[in-house]
Amino acid sequence: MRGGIPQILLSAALLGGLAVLPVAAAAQPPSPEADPFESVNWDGVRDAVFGQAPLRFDLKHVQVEAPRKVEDGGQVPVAVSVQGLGKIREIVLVADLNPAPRAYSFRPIAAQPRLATRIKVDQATALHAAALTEDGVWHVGGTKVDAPGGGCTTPSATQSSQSWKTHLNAVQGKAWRRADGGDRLRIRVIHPMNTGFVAGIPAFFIDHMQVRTAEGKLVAELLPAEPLAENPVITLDLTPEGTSASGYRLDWSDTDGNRGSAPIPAASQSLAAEEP
Amino acid sequence: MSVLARLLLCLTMAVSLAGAAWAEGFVYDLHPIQVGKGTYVLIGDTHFFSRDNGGNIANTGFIVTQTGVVVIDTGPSRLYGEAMRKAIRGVTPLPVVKVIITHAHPDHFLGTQAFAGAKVVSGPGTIEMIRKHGQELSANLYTLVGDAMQGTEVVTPDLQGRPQETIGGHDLRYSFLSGHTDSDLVVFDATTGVVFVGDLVFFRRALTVPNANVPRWQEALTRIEAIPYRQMVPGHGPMPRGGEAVAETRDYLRWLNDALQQAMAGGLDITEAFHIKVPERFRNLAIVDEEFHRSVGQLFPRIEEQALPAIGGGQ
Repeated sequence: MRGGIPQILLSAALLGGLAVLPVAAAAQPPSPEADPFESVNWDGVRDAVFGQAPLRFDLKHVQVEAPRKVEDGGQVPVAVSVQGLGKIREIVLVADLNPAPRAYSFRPIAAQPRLATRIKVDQATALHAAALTEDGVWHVGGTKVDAPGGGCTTPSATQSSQSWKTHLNAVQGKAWRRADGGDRLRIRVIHPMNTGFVAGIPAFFIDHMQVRTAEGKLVAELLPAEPLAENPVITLDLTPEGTSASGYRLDWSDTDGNRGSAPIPAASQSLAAEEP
Repeated sequence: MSVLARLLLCLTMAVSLAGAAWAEGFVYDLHPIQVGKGTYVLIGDTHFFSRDNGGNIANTGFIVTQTGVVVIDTGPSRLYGEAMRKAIRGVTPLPVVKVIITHAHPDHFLGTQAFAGAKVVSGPGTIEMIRKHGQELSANLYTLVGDAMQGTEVVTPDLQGRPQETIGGHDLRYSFLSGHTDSDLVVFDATTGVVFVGDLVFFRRALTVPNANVPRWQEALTRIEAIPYRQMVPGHGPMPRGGEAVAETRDYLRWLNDALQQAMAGGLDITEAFHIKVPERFRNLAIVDEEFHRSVGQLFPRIEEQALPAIGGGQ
């Protein structure tokens, strides 16, 4: 064909032009803040998870706590705590270098804007938590974890033993009364939480959890994703307004459409001092 | 010295240094310390696994009997085992006739390869754990200590079924206990009064608990206290004079377990349990903060699983 060579030249020119474009454009809109945790993947994760929404780093008000040294990449404890930003609509936790970075989205409807749970971490990575305030801005904090690797890409313990087949659905949980009059809830659900990143084991994880008071008021909602650890354990603190003297109900469902429900008895005990 | 001579000297030194490093790789500096008649220990570093210590963090030992040497634990790597063999050769020309593995942790059994020809024995649970997880433990140690692990291969012991045997005039008595792992073998030499307790007892070094069963461990300590020993060889740390290492192990284990059980009962999350303060009386234990942190990560999820009330579901 006669047009062959010019077409290639044209493409090359276009590609060259495109490559130059971002450099020229960068001067106009405010450039995104550099990641204080120096994650190589943050720009991509930010765009994929938060799109074009306004976002700013706020390490003072959004704190993420994870162990300095991780031995088991399949069970990395992470506590996210947001303070002093008023009403929080949603908290999202991401592990930047995980094959699927978003670990969960948490809607603290009538809960304090903090959540502790355990996640899988596939390799040493930055963790970012973003809290969405009423004005539509994401406030971001984070930390770094050093993990041995393979948290998302090795089979879960229960997957290899198949014990979850008889225990799937089993829920453990308890409520404690906090000094501020709100209840702390701790919940554990037996589930393999398969990521889909292990050959021959399809994705199979809880993707929705709701906590209601016994009277039926929705007080907290969690949307877990692939990285939430096997047999997930959740610790959350309800506000005094979200607290019920009659107890609670947990409803969950997974990616295969399994559903479960369990009553959490009313708090009968006070929470211990947080730092004994 | 002429320029040429100096140059030659430098060159020779450089070559011999490079040659030594190349040929031998990591060098373990092992010094047998006598703790009883014909009985020696090689005391390990009290820190965590590192490239600097080559994984040499546990105590190993050997008993020179009339007919041969009995080795108790073989260290973290083939190179360690070979260095141990050399150290034994410095004490006696007798061959190693038996290797006893106290338990299936990588700092205690991965040097077994160096004792080819000797009968290698341990408790049934240890054999099972080495068969199932030996490769994984070895690979993990490779990541932690690097080059010192070069050429290390897992050797699975044979069963030690008998509670007593006499080797070269030494009356050896075995107690098959558990608690630090599913299978912990205690070797008491009734002839010398030396007891090798493996990792059921640590001294001036914080405990490790990745496979621990606390009630069983506490029972095992009571069994150990009943042994009429004269000298105890703990799995980690210096040699105690009397029973103080057992007392220290018991005290720390009880505190650790109680603190985590109380945190769980009080509604705390694991991320809060990490902040529990280690009492002053344990400040003399090597790397206590680091090990406490690891212990919370390992024990708290198991305590949660047991202690959180079942509220629904399951079949």
